Amino acid sequence: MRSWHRRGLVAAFGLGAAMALTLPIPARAAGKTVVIWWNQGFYQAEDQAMKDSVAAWEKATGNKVELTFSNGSDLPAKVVAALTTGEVPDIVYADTGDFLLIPQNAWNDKLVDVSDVVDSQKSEYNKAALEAGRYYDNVTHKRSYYGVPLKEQALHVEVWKPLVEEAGYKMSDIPKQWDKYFDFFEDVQKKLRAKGKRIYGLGYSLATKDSDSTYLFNQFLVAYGGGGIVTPDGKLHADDPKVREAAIKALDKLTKPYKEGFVPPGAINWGDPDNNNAFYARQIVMTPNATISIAVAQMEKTEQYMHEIVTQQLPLGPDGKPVTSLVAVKQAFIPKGAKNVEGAKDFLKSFIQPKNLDNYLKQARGRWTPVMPSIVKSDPYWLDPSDPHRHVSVSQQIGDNVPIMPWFMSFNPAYADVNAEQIWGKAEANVMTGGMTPEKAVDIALGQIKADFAKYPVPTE
Amino acid sequence: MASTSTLTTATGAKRARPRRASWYAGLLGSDFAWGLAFVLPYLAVFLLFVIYPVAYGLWLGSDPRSYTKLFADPIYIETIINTVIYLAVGVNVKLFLALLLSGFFMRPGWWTKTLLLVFILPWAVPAIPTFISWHWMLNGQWGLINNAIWDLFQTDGPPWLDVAHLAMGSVIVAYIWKWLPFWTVIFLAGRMAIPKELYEAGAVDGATGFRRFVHITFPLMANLYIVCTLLSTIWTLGDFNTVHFVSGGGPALQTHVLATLGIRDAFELADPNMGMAAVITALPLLIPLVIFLMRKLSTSEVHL
Repeated sequence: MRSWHRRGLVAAFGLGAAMALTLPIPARAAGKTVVIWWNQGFYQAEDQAMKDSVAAWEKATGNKVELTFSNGSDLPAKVVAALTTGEVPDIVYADTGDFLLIPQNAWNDKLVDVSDVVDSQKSEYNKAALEAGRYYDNVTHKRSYYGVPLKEQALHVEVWKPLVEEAGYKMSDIPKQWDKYFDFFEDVQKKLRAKGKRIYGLGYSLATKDSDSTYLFNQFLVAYGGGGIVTPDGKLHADDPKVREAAIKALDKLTKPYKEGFVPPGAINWGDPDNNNAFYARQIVMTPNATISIAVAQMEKTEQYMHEIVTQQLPLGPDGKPVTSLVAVKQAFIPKGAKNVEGAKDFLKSFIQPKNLDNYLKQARGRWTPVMPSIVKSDPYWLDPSDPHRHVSVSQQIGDNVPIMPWFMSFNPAYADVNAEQIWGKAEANVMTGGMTPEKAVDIALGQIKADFAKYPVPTE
Repeated sequence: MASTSTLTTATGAKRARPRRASWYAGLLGSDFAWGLAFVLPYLAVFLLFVIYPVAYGLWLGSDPRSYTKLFADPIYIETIINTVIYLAVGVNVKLFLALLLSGFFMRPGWWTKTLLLVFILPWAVPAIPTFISWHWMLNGQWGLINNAIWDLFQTDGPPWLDVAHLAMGSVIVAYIWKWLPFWTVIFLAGRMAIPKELYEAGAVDGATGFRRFVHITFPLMANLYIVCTLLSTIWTLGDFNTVHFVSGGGPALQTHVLATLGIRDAFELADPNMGMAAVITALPLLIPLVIFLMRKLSTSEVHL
């Protein structure tokens, strides 16, 4: 009898231990909790603004939110793993989502159609944002909204005014036309080197990692007339002589100064923070950057922020006209398999109301630009001329004076592969260190791009 | 019925081998239940955290299209070459230096013991911060080395991480620096296990200095050296940290090894299947190494 007791105890213990290890965690109460994975902001206030939005929505609806912030470099891997295993959150926002996550997953029917969310504020969005959120789903064979636009960024230039002046120039001496604008900084370097300074004129990111170098090349491609490489119908135009010529000019304009010593040799390895660091160390006179984070991070240093660091819009194009600004529209999305799609959509509908979005974006100190023109026009914060950086960046992105266009991966996810594979970065390296001519490097790159596009045949609508 | 079988040893002698016991080892009743109770949690953990991840990984890498994409990637062949160079140079130079240094640290005296303590430090400190330090130290523009060169000679130093062969060389040097102390200590332990009498006898026959190393030390440590080489090769094949944090696979993706390429493909290209395929292509090298290692470890003739 006693042994039976013991045996039962042992059996129960063994079974319990096995069950504890093998059974999944009990599911969340359906329809009550929204799980959000959100890219951590640069500033505490940015994260707090997100927490406040969540708290307000929880209070208004009685629902709960499990909000997790992740570092921007870690979040994509976490999301890729979640999408692979099927254990997904209800909402994802990653700063690089529009580059890395949304286009391919929309194509593969792994995202929830969020048209009803976007439609709730459709009249508020700018044209580029609306174009950017629409992706082709290769299972349903239709183009629809799979990303909810939240904010945008575009390339502009940060310049150290004291270094320009130390070289004997005034800021007004900087030319306005594309080629002359960038050549000017080569002269600045020569003057500074003559004074024994170890400074480089041009802080170009020319690496095969992160997004700064990708941004730089593609903006140069657009400036030289290659913006039609992919058209909104998703078609590639790699054989268009205009595109090839623009790519060659862009590649030559970026790599020649590197070979001639006007760009730090380490730029071939720069990740996104590295041009910022080189700039702060005053080792480069200027650097193109896709947000005004370089200046904003120095906001507490009043002299630097107000007088020494200058944010400039892109110069006029080689044709003398304003260059179309390539805007990266940052979007939230809902993965298929999310347990509370309705709750997720309701939260996003609340979050993108102009007033709520404005409050959230302001806490990022203007690093990101609103995707809704009404926000910029109704809140004087965005175009306040007393801030030397914000209004310069914002006015380049709202589409009033400078034309804007979304990135090519919204038209066809193949271009997300092109960026991820760093095809243009490799082309730059082939010229800079491989001894290749720009023509040859461009032909190789275009061949690889064609191969990528062959994997994503978007039918004519 | 015979209850034993015979086993032929390396020397040809035959010895009795006990009959294999049943898997439950004769346990009955509550003892058997207790045995199960203790085994089940381990079994569950093993299934969950060993069998399942490996099987899932193999499943992810089972799509033939992933291999087509992988082999079409121009970086892949470069990565294979890098991996072979990294293993061949890194492991062999490291172990050979460790063997020599272990002889140095056998020397008597308090100062060699003190030096050994200092020498072990690179291995003792956490890997990731030290590799990040290497990365910053080797930075061409604001790294410690090139800043010193500029301050002294007003000229730019070598582009350590900006040219492929220098970057790969930097990775290998950082790897050797990190792991040399560990293997030196292993060989030091091996040398200490060699009976002094052998050296004394060798000295009588004129085996001193280099001849002592060739005729006594090395033959006795040969098995240990081979096992260490195999083990180190297996570990190094899966080494992600050194390449990732020293060169980052750059410049222009030219210093990737299979371990870092797998992560790049899985998460930067957002293609876990291709990432897994990249790792699986290491198996044709890894499996023979593991089999050879097992055979060496189970050999009946063990020197040390």
